[in-house]
Amino acid sequence: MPPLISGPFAAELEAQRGKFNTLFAEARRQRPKLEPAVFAELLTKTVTPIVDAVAKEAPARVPEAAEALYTLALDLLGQELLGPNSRYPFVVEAWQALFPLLGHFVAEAPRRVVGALTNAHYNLSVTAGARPQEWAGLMLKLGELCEDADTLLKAGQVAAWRAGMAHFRTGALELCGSLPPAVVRAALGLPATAEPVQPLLQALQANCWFNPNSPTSKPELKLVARVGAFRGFGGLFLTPPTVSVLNGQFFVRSGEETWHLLADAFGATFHRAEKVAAATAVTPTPFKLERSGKVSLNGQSQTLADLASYTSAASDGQTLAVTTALSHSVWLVAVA
Amino acid sequence: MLDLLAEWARLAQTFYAGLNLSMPNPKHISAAPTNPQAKITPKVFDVADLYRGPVTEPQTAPAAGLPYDEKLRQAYFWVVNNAIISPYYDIEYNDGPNVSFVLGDSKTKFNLPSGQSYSSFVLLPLLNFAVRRRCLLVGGPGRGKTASAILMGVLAGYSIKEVKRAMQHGQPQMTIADLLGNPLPADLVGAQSMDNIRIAWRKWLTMRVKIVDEYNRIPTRTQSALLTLMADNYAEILDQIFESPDSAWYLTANDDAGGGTYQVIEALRDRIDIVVRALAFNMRFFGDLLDRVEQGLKPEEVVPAQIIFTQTEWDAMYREILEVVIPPEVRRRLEFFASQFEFFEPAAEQLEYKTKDTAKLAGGDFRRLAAGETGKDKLKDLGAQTKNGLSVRSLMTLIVFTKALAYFRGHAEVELEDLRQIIPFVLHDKFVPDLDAPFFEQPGHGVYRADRIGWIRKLFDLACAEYDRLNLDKDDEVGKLQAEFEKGLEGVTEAEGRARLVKIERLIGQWSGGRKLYGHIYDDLLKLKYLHQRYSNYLRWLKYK
Repeated sequence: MPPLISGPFAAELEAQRGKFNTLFAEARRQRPKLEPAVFAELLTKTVTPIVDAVAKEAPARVPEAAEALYTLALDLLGQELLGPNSRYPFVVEAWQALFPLLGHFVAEAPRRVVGALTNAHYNLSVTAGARPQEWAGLMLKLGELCEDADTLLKAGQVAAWRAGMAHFRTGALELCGSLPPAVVRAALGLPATAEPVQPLLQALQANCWFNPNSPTSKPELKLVARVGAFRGFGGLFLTPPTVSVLNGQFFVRSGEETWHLLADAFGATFHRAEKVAAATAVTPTPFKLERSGKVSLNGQSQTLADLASYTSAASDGQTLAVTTALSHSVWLVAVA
Repeated sequence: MLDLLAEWARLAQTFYAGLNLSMPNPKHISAAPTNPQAKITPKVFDVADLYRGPVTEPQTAPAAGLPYDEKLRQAYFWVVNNAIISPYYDIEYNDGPNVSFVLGDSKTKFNLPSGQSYSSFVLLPLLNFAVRRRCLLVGGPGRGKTASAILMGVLAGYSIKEVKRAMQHGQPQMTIADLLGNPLPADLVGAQSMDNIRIAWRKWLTMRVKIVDEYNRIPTRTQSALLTLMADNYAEILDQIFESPDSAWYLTANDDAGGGTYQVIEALRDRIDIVVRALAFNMRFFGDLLDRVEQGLKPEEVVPAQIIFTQTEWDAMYREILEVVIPPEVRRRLEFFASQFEFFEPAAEQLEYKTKDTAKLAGGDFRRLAAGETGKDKLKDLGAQTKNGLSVRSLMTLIVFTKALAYFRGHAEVELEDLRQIIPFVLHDKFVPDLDAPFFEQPGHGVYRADRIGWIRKLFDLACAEYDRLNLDKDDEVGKLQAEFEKGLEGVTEAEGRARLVKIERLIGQWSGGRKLYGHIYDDLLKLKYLHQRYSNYLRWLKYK
């Protein structure tokens, strides 16, 4: 028997017993596998601490928060996103460790905040190359800096980019302009000082390989990332891929599958795409790539032995993407 | 740090300056397709997608473009699946052949419908909500009548508390003031005229869903006040008037024969548009009941927002319902059916007054008069089964509910089956059966003395069978004359007018040769007389002209 629910959540459940029981019965009718004992445990161990956090921040918001968290937990348990059968440990961890620390924001808009943050954890979990744990850490810091839920959620979008969601780069950069400098810095993993962020944003805008967390004094041409891997080792590709560029975007082809690749200093993500034209091994401008693996750009050159006898290469103007016959990865070369 | 950032920005500028852009030859245009490949547009990524996922915002309004009939169906299925344990599918529809069984000594026909069928106890209150009429829920205590009515209030957007507080509970001491409101005491004392007396009207009068529980326990005088409100949408106290909005009414009664504490006045009963029977609880669903008791489940408290109708949606839905078409072939069958009942040959000498209404107004012994009818096949005469005919109000209600049922099923036109299914519920309290009629003495017909729904549906089926036997879809002489007349009199010559008069007279002449008179012939005769008059007057006018 799970321990009893206590505190303000217990009082709220008692006050609205019929309603909450009806919600569970209704959910169980749709998902007969829902187990009352499992849900009770979820309420006790996971939901109660969040409601307690809300009660501490804004006692008057407890009824709304309790109902929102109850219905969300029920729904997520049914979808096996929460509970013992969850395949998304970061979602579970967020409910258990992060949300109780964001009581102020949960109290403000319980369903919106918890729903959005749950979705974010889910998306970070299912996006290869994203780093959900890092994002949770950034959110914790942002929780101390943001005044309201809207700001926290916006900052969270910037932090998601920082945590490897490279495809959010454009939108996140736009959002930075609407956030307080300290929040922007914290979202990017920098010390939360109040310095103007405009120069920082310009640098980020100018070169996608600029990393504010480890800026180099003299940027040079080099291998900036190696992305993708053999499916047997947790990657995406069954056969060594080839790369091409279309409308300034990288597309990676492996067997019959095509992926849209987005990469920058914070990470790289692949997204399924329609087929594009076969890749070519023609040297893409403005880079020069030789069979020996020598890469040149604007007077700088670098010999990268791994790129010798490459099978395909493509450039979006700022990054050179290269594939070889002996690897299931895509090599990215840029000035950084 | 700033220097470093500037260096990165400068580098970016030189970087882009290094791009090898070759200028195209202005005199040469490449042949299309210049790049023959599948055209794809790279996906645009939206940072807002971060917060989109398995958790969706609860809907607070219908999805854009979701039709109201769909919303009505969603409401129905939510109620039957979650709120009311009513495992009855007594409104049966078939899509093609269905399976039937004959059960028991009474040879009861048991159908397994092949089409989507419905529970009248849930569907009809919902249709009543859609067409804002007056619904009576009847049945023994504890069968969910009040719960069903409360759900309708919630569907109208009221909270449970509001609905419950607004519900009127019939009881023997209920006064008009209890029902409608009170004059303000200070005004009663100080007012110099009736106009100065202000009334504190009861809040429930403003609601779109009005519930009167156990209406047959309301004293007669208070029933009259209720009648005014139900019939004309206004309340009156001391010359002060309160205009009430259009509302869907739900009245409940434990005994539909009017056997409450007070006899329900006939005018009030007549204002009830549809009667819904609360059927007995099916013990095979005892488990569900047990859950409700043990867990204190209250479905009415968790009605999904997307099945709640706003005033605007409610109004729009009603307009759409009225736009549903009743095709001529269905309308004719309804006319034929309805024409069976008012005619009462022994009631008067002149044809026009040969009606049950004449007999009723005279206050005579109906049975004695009915015995005067001779020679007619009283089994064939459907009118012999009732002591009254149908009022215009009943027919109007029938039209509206038939349209509502077709609308609920997602149809723009009424089907005959819609009419057949709805008729018993609308006419439930309208027909007064003559239980002494030979029809009820027939083998297997005794059940119709108690089963009002089955009896009225049987009446309609018999009327349709007779309609088919007479081949009125194809061979309707009166219909042809009516169609001819409806084309208008303009341009009709005197000769043509006279020819039409002769046709009318010849048709009546054919019927006069010893043919028995039935309700539909009575209506046809009066229609022919009407046409005859119109043509006669027209000819007179032509002559004058």
